[in-house]
Parts: sequence; C-alpha cells; structure tokens
Amino acid sequence: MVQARQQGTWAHPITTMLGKGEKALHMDASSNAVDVGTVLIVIPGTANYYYNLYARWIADAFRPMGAKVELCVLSQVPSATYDLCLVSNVCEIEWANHEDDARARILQLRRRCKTLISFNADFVHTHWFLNNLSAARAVGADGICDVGFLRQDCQELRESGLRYNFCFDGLLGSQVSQERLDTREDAIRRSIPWAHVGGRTLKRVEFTERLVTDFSPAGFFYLPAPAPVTEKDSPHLNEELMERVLRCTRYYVWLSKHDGFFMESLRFKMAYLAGCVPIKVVEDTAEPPGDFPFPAFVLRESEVVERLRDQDFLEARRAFREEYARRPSLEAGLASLLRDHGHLAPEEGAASASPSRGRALRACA
Amino acid sequence: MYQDGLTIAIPTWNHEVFLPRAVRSALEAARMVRTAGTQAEVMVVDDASRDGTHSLLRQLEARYYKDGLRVRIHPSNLRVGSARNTALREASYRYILFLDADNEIIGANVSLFLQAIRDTSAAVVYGSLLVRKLGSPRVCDLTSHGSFQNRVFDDNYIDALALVDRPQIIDVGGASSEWLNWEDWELWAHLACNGRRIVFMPVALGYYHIVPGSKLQGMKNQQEMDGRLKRTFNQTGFRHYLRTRTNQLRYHPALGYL
Repeated sequence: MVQARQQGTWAHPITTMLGKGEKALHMDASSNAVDVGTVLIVIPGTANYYYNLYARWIADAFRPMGAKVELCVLSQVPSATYDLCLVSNVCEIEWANHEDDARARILQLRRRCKTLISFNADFVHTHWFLNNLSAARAVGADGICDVGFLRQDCQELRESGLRYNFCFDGLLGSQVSQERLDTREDAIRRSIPWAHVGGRTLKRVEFTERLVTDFSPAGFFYLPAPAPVTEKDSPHLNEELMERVLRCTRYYVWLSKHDGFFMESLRFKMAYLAGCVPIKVVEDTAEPPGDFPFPAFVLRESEVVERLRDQDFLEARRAFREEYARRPSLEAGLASLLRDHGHLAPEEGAASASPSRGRALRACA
Repeated sequence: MYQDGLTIAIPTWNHEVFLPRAVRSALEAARMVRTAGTQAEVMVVDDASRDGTHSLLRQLEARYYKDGLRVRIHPSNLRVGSARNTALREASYRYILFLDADNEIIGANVSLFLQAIRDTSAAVVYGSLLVRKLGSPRVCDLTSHGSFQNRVFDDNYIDALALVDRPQIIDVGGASSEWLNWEDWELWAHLACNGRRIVFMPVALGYYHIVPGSKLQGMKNQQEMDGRLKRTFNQTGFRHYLRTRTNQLRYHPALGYL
C-alpha cells in the first residue's frame, strides 16, 4: 500500500464545483490524512455528464483523506495497480466506449485492483440501474456505491451478490458556501422566476403550462427530445450552462420521469451550489416513504403553484441551505464505503459527519 | 428610417371564429409593451376573406383604434406571404411580431423578446409555443422548442409566430408568396442561407392551436413542398456540412448565449 501522507504539512487548494470567483479553501491535509492508498476513478468522458461530475466530487472527497487519486477515461487508464478503483459507472463507460472492447479492458483493470466498485446515481427501478448492475457483475465488481438521498433496494440488487453501499449525497466541506446569499440584491439579480429542464414528456409539458399560466410566464424551460446529456454537442444544457441558468433563477423545478419516488439528489445539489431553491414535484397520488430529506421542497403537483406564490424566496433558500449543511457530508459517506471494503480502519477517516461542523473544526485548527 | 417599437401583425384569411382570440392577446401584449416603455400597435392584414371577417374587423377597429389596432384589407386573395409583406411595408415600427390568426401571444413575455432581438441584432427571435388541440383545455406538446439547426432543411419545427427585425427581412426580399402554406419555412431557410441570425429563447412566446387546416395537421402538398424546398436549399444534400451564422443560437437576456 503506497504511503499517501506527505512529509510535513501541505495545503491543498480545494475549489467548489463552480470555482469562478469563489474563495478557495485551504485545508491542512495532515489533520485528516489517513492511509487510504491509491485510488483510480474511471469516468465515461462523454455520455451523461453527471457521472463525470460525481467522479470529480468523489476525487475531491478522497484527496483530503490522504488518498493518491487519479481520474481518467478508460482509454487513458495507466497499467499500474490500485488499492481501489471506482468506475463511474460501468454501463456508462461501456456505452461511451462502444467502439472499443470496453468490457475486456475493465476486466483487465479489475485484475489490477484490490477493490473495484461501480458507482450509481440512478433509480433502482430503471433500466439504467439494472444495466449498470448487470455490467458490474460481468466485470467482477465488488460492489455498488449508490449515491443519493435514500437507500435503495430491489430484488435484482439483492440477488446480484454485489455488496451495496449507500452514500448520502452530501456536500463536500468545501461546498458549504461561505458566499453571502441572504441578500435582497442577490434575489433581485435572479430575474428568472423558475427553471424547468429535462427530457420532454407529456406530464412535463402539461406542468410547464401550469407554471406559465398560473405562477409566472417568464420562466425558463427547456424540454428537448430524449438524448444523453453530454458535456458538449448535445441538444441539452450541459453542466456549465445549467449552472449559468440556475445562478439567475429562483426556483429550480422538476418532475421526475420515474413512476416511483426518487429524489434525484444531483438536482438538489446543483440548486445548492447555484444558490437557488429546488422544488421536486410529485404526482398527487404519489406515496413517498415516511422519512426523506428536504420534505419542505418536495411538493405535490396540485399544491406547487400556490406554495410558490405564497412562500418567501429568501426564507425558503435559507431553510434549504441550512438543512443541507446539517446533513452528512459526502466525505463521511465515502469514508464509510472505504471502511466497509477494508481500506480504512474503523477509527480512521474521521471526516466530519456534517460539513458545517467540519468547517468549524478546520477554522479552529 | 425605422422607428423603434413593435408592430404585432396578424395575417388572416377566413378565420372569423379564431380572430378575436388572436386580436385580444395581441392588444394585451401591445398594452404591456407600452407599459414597459416601448411603442406598439396591432395590425390585422386581411387577405380578402369571404366569411364574416370584414364585419368583425370593422367593429374591432372602431372599438380598439385608440388601443393601437389597425386594419388593412387586400382587395383580392394574395396568400399569406403577401399579407406578411403588406405588414412589412406598412408597419409603423421596426420590430414585427407575426401572429397567425388562429394562435395567441403570451403578452407578458414580449418585452423579453424585444430585449433579445436588440441584444443580438438577430433577424428573427422566436420562443417556445404551447400546443393545444381544438376543444382541449390542456396542452399536448411544444413546438418551436429548440434552436435553429441544419435539420430545419429537412423538416420545419419553427412556427411563423416569431419576432423579426423588419429591415433585415426587407433586405432579403421579404416573404415569398410562392410556397403555399410553407412560407415561414422558406423564409427561415432563406434567411439562414443569407447569413442572417435566427435565435431561439427558451421562454414561452405563445400558444399554437391545432385547428382543422393548421399546418401541424399535415398538408396534402407536403411532399411537393418538401421536394421543392430541398431543390432550392439543399439540392446536393450537403447542407448539413455547410456552416451558417445561425446554427444552435440560444439566448436569454439574463444569461447571454447558451
């Protein structure tokens, strides 16, 4: 196992996803460094951008733990050995590399890694999840790391033989923004009252009309025909464009395509990072589980317009940001994954459970 | 030469039943635009209707003249391209929002589109249209929902309901009268091939109502028009490889180009 800890103290600049104009936080890695070893994170590169995005966040979470992290696409994977390989995710990478023998190359990589885990951010009751599960089994993965807001379960997962690790899609310590947003100036700058973006379905079109006619006609909506959301060259809005839209928007509103209840944690996180308020809309007949995070921001379709009209934007945003900062951090979830697979001793990887608490600790160091 | 302001132009031909809805939405839009500080008028150009449109228009003009409603009547049927050219010729203002008589505008957003066309100096700025079927209270689809791309040369998805910069349209020769029911498609292709910019804004501009005889229902002469348009603009099939100034332009005044 490669010794990852540096001699002496070193500062590692960590910027948020948004980066531009944001103050970089400098961490003393020695305060949290543990012997995680070498980590390789493989990304699709093309296909859906959010798997690339999650991979970068996970890399940012691992590095302060002392891991030596490499992040690359499949075609650039070195021939070295690794303690841990995170594939974000197997199925997406195979799809992105459809012209090459991607599966064979992942199998070769598997033989050079002590642990190989496939990453997942999809709803279990979708063909995307099932395809990833199948692909993960085929390449001999040790488990699935499922990032989201709620643990998931389905028969195929139970029968797969793969270890399931749930990781709460919390904020990185660096993402708990110190930017002051509780100002009227920021609210005024957000001239777009709502944004609704996603693949086109009849339900989404009908819901858009309700927002236009009953809440505010000046909303931003973009519902193109289904296609992968790549970082460039797709009809969709990629990560950078979505960030720009959300930075000028008050409410980020969406309807899930899925029939079941799935929180799409990435949208909540993007809303947080852009300073807007997420509103997940569920059908009136939906039966969400008894306990889920951000209940004030999950609204039934019949009540959305009235709630948006009645609530104060600044107050809603404050409440959302405070709740998110109190939730477990992404580092905590990943540390649990590492412990579960034997890459951390039980007492190691003491990233703070809550990113806001962690920030206070670092400020005192 | 062109006075700053907005003319909402409604070409109409035997749409007596739907015309009041279009005119109402246009007058409301003009009122909102004036409130925002821009001069505006509504011009209905009748292409020699034979139903009760003339009687209706006389009454509407008398009732709403002070709200900026103007009426022009062709002595004989010259088709919608000529009606649009009449508006281009006789409008009082620089920017024209063309509205078919069976559709309606979302007036609250027109000022946003005016800002976009001023910001971008585009020949055309269009937005998303919510599609409704006759008799249905709910929308069933979207149209004009996406940026101008070369696939327009294969199949049009941009409705005539759009805001144009009058001098640029006149400069390229105006609308053609020779493309029965496909005049807007031909105009977009013509503008794109002549270096003009056609910009999409992901905001609602109006409602597209599917009524008997509307283009979204399909036309008997579609195959003929497809062939003719391809012969004019894409004879060799290489159009997809030719760059235009107007590919994939998406814009919002608060965001810039997307």
